Amino acid sequence: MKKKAFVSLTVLMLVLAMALTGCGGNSNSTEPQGQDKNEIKYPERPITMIIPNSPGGSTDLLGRTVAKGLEKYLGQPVIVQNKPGGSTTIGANELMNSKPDGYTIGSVNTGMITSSVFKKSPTNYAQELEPIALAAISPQILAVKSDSEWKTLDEFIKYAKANPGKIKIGHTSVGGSTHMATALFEKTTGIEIEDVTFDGGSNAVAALLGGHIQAAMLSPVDFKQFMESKQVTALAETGEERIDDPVYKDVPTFKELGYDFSEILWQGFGAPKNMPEEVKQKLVEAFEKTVNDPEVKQAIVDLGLTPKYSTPEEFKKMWLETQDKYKEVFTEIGLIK
Amino acid sequence: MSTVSSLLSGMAAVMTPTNFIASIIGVLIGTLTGVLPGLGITGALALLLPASYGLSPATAMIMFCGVYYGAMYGGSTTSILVNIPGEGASVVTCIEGYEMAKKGRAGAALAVAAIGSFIAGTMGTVGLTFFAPMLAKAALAFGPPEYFAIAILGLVLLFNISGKSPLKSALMVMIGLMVGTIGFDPMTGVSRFTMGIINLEDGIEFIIFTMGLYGVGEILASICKPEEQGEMMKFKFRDLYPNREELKRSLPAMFRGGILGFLIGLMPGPGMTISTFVSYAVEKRLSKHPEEWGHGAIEGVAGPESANNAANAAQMVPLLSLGLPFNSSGALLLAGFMIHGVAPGPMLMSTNPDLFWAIIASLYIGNVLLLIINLPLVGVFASLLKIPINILLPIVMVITFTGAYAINNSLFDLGLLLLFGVLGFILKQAKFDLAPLVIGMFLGSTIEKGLVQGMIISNGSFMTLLSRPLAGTMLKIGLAVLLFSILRSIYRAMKARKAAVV
Repeated sequence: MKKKAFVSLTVLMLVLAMALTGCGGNSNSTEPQGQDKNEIKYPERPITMIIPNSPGGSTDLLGRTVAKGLEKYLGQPVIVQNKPGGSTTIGANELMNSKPDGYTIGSVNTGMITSSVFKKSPTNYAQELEPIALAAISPQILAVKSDSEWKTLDEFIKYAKANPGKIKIGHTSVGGSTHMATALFEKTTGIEIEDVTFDGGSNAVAALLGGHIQAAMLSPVDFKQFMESKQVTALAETGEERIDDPVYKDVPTFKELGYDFSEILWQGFGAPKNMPEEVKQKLVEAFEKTVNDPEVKQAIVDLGLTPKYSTPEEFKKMWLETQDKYKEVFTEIGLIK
Repeated sequence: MSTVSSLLSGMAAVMTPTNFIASIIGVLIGTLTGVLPGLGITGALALLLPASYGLSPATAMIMFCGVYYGAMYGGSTTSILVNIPGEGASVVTCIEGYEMAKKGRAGAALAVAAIGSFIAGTMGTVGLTFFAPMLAKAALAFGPPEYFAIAILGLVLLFNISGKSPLKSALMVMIGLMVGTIGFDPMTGVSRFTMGIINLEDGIEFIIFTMGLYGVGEILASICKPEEQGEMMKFKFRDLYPNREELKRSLPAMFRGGILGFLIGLMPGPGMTISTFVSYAVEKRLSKHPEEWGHGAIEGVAGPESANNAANAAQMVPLLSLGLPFNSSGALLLAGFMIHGVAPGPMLMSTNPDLFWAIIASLYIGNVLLLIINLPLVGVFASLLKIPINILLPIVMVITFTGAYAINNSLFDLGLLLLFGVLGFILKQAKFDLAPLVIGMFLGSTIEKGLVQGMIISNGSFMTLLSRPLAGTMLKIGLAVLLFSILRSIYRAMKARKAAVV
């Protein structure tokens, strides 16, 4: 009798473990039945969305937000599957190699550019994946501690020019967007400052507040509450235009201040290549409606990103342009050999 | 309003039916994910985040905090029962906990872990309530050079944690450090030791490494010893709970663990796991029963299991008072706060005191709930060991592999798990200790990042780095300890040789 209880308990644990791992895989096992050659009914079963990052990060949260919105317009559940690793290449490869039937889609982001440009992966994802839609963008912000001696960008640059190598600036992820923004900032202004790479914006902010580094180039969401509590001062941002958020509306862009560069981190969605045209069209429409949905838009703003939709063609163009820029700038500063 | 009355009004806010149920759900989910190896706080919170959209901010926060605390309670279960650490902070519990289980004292170990978690968790929460803003400022004084120094000091103090052959331990530490370098260089992006395998690009997951070494290694070792079958399975219900002697020995360890855990837990990143190792080392040094260590000393469970819960509370200090998460689960908790429009940090206490105090109060209530839930579970879990080993082991293997897969949804990780399992098995048979290997692997990346970042901050001069008061002192202590232990072992070797000659 007791033995039975133990066995059922362990079985329960097993079932729970399996439920928690998310058996999203079974969506691939059922083939669409009675499929007519001329007519494709799409979507008639759940769709899997591959996220190439770990749960909880901004890419993951954006993906989940959009997945939820998509369900409304596609009429089928969208199951999120995290496939982190290899600086997004694991997820990107999985997406690239899955069946182009519209039942596997994935989130794509600037991280894939980094891995392509650094030749971690031989694949040029901009060409090998089918871009579907851009969903959100975010500039990077250059900030210093509020009690530092610099109140404006000009003061900061003047000091940096007089004291080459003395200012230490923090950013996250080597070869990523904050690194690119830092490199462009140094290159355009001609100043000499030392980069420190941190893992994660929070660690960089902690080092900034603790006075271990003098400046940091991070995303708006990393600084937001410290702007509100007036612990950090934002000197400039790398976007094309100012950020809507009231906390940042007084922060000028580098372009406004006469430094001609911009760097925008973007997050979008893609699918494997060679999908049937009708399927692609349906997906593109659903994404357009989702990203422009007021509720989804608000959720994206809450994540600290700027919602922005663009068509597959525009998105692909932007992807390729960013890729060229990364290749050029990182080669110039000697990061790519 | 004083702290105490604010706290009381926070308690009242949590005791409303909705919030109370949210807290119960949170701690239950936390406990379950903690019990399943591999699935930690991160996995549980990630699953809950999207489900929480409809809840009010306070209810959602209370649930998240329940998960955050609950996962730390459950973590020790598999360490003790089957030698599989569910997360980094439970690795050290394997050493004595599993030995206790082998002697039929699994119930006592589990109960002591739960009681210690409660005591230290509450101590940590008290520290959080009264000293958070002050401590948070102190935590900021620690920059990359200090992390480097702490990690080095930790390595020097802990590498010979088992107290057996220092040479063998040093070798294990070196291999651990080397394993820790696999993946891309955090400063230059260059791939190291990846052999072109893209899955190794981000390095090896620490928990896969430990689950393989301890868990799978132990299962393989058990297969080789069929004659022991059935020996450890007989115990009465009364034996499930600790006796007076065991409780008496555990209590001081719990309090020491609580204090150590809270202080070390204030350190960013690896604080929680380091605190368990330090607590183990301290308890071993202070123990009146040195002969029991390595054979199931109960202090070796009580201390570290208390330390990790206090450290867990300490990690809430920078999160709540600065808005800075110091570890990955804290980062996820922060993400949970943010999507509900709550920005923890210096502003929260003044702009939204009701919510702030409700969160703090929920931590106290969560701790009590966890004790109530976990003590009866002790009997259930300990009874699992009555299952014949030929049925139990395959089940454990399946759970281990499922948990390992759940971390990254990666089949490659399962291959690594098996590889490290075989490695763990071989090392065990060759009488090498696994703890130094794990410590080396764990501290390796902190040491590397801290050194590289610290050197840039110190203008590339090691002397400048040494001149920083905190980092310099810690490094000098580390050097002194290292020299002392080398001299001591040379002296001992010479004495032994002399004795042999005579």
